[in-house]
Amino acid sequence: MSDMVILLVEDNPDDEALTLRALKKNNITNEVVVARDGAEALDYLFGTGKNGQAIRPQVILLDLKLPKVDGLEVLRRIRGDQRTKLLPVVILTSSNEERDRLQGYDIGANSYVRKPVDFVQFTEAVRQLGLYWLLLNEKPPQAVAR
Amino acid sequence: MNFKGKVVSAFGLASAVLLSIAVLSYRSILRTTTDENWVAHTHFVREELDALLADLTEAQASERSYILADDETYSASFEDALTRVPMHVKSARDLTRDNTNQQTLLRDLEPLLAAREIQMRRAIASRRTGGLNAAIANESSTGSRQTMDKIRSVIAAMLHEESHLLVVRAASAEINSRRMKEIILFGYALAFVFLIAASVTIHREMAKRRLGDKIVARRSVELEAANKELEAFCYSVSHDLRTPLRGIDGFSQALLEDYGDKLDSSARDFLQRIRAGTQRMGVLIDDLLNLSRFTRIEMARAETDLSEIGRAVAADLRQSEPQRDVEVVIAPQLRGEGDPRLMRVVLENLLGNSWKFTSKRSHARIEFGRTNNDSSSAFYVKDNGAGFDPAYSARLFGAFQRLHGVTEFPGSGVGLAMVQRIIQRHGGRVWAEGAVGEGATFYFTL
Repeated sequence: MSDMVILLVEDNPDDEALTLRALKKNNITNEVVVARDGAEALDYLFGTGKNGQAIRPQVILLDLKLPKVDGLEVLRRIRGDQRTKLLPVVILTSSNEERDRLQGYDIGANSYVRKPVDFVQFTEAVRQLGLYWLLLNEKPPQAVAR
Repeated sequence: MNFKGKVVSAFGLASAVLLSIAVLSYRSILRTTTDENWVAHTHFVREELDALLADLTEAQASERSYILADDETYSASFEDALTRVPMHVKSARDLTRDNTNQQTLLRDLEPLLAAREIQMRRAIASRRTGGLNAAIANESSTGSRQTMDKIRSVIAAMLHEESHLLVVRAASAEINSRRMKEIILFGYALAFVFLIAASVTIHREMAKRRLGDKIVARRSVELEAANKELEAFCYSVSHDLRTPLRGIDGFSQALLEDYGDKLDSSARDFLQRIRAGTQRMGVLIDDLLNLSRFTRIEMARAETDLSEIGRAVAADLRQSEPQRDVEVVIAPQLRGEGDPRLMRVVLENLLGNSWKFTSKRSHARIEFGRTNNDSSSAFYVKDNGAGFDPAYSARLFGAFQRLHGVTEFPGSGVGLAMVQRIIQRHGGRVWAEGAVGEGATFYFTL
């Protein structure tokens, strides 16, 4: 299961800590790569970062309001590139604004989950996401990727 | 007078003046023609009278020539001239038929002419029978000169009469045409004044409207800016305000989970209260956003089956609390013009309220129907729940207004405010009736 990396794109350290805690509490032990802004997330995906290694995560948990490059733009770049266009992307954000949901799905998000304020509910949401995207869901074949 | 009235009356008056001038001008032209006819008429009469006198004089000259020369050709020309005299009389009579003075003079003239004819014929007859001297004696004894003088004076009187008439008519025509000129000039000036007034009114109104358009344009720019600001504000609230709450709730929960055994019961209670507070604030933020969302979103009105929406909402409520025994009566065929999405929000709130406030009733009953009164038919949601004090009914629809404690019935007090906004956006009215402990009825129109 070591190749089943989760890419968490999250700028808020509290939300990052809570998400990691929720994953741990649900016994999801996959490696979690955390990108703290949109540019960093793109660096990880396209290998343009410091270590130069591109990652192909099992699922990307993407916040929308991000510094530098916002979440919708990150999604647009992912969908616009042959190497990453089939990667499962789950928008995980605070807002349930209609235009966010509409644009998110329009650009090609696989799922849209709103982070609940109640941490018990948040933990449950993360549990279900992990169960679905890491265990139940089959990854698209690598054939299209170089 | 309003703008339209002013313009219509100014144009109406100007048109009336111009029309009157047109009618008067036409009549004036007709009268001028008549005046010209009269001048011509006078000339005709004079010509006839002149011709009459000329023929009579010719007859007299022929008679005298015959007496002197005893030549029958003079007798023939005498007869010839004499036959023309009655024709002239007849023409003159026809021409002056409308003038009693001239007719009277003509009647005086006829016996004189007849007398003169007899005198001349006698003179000719006496020349034939008694010779030159007898004829001359006859001519001088019968008073032929006096008769001829009388004839001349009558004809002169008639000519004078015609001249006089011509002068009178010319004067009256002169007065008429002068008055007409005055009327036309004054009328045009008046019409011009009315048209100036109309154009000034139109100009002012246009300036006013241009100003109004500018104000409307500025307002809509302001409104658009305000809406954009509200949109940005809501977006920010939706994204940023909930994040710290999640932190507070999450780390409080982490404390409880990881260090619960090291805390005493009172510390754990504090943490629970912190969590309850943050969660409640999360709900408030969501309600606030929903409230503004239903003011912002675009409406799409259509014929909507409210009974069907009501049944769906009731089914959701039953599913949320399957243990409760609530009688929900929904009248069939409740239809109205509304946005189906917003109508669902209205019914979710009204039926949801009834569901909530009947939670302490053993036989809860909720009814959704329509008043019989067809002229101002209203939909209503009625329950036998906790009801409310009618003294506070005005406060029911204010945002974040609550008539019950949170511990008694949960809620943030946004639901009815939302209902009111939606109904008002539909151009309808919403109101409530009720009493403490006797249930509540909420009415709305679309």
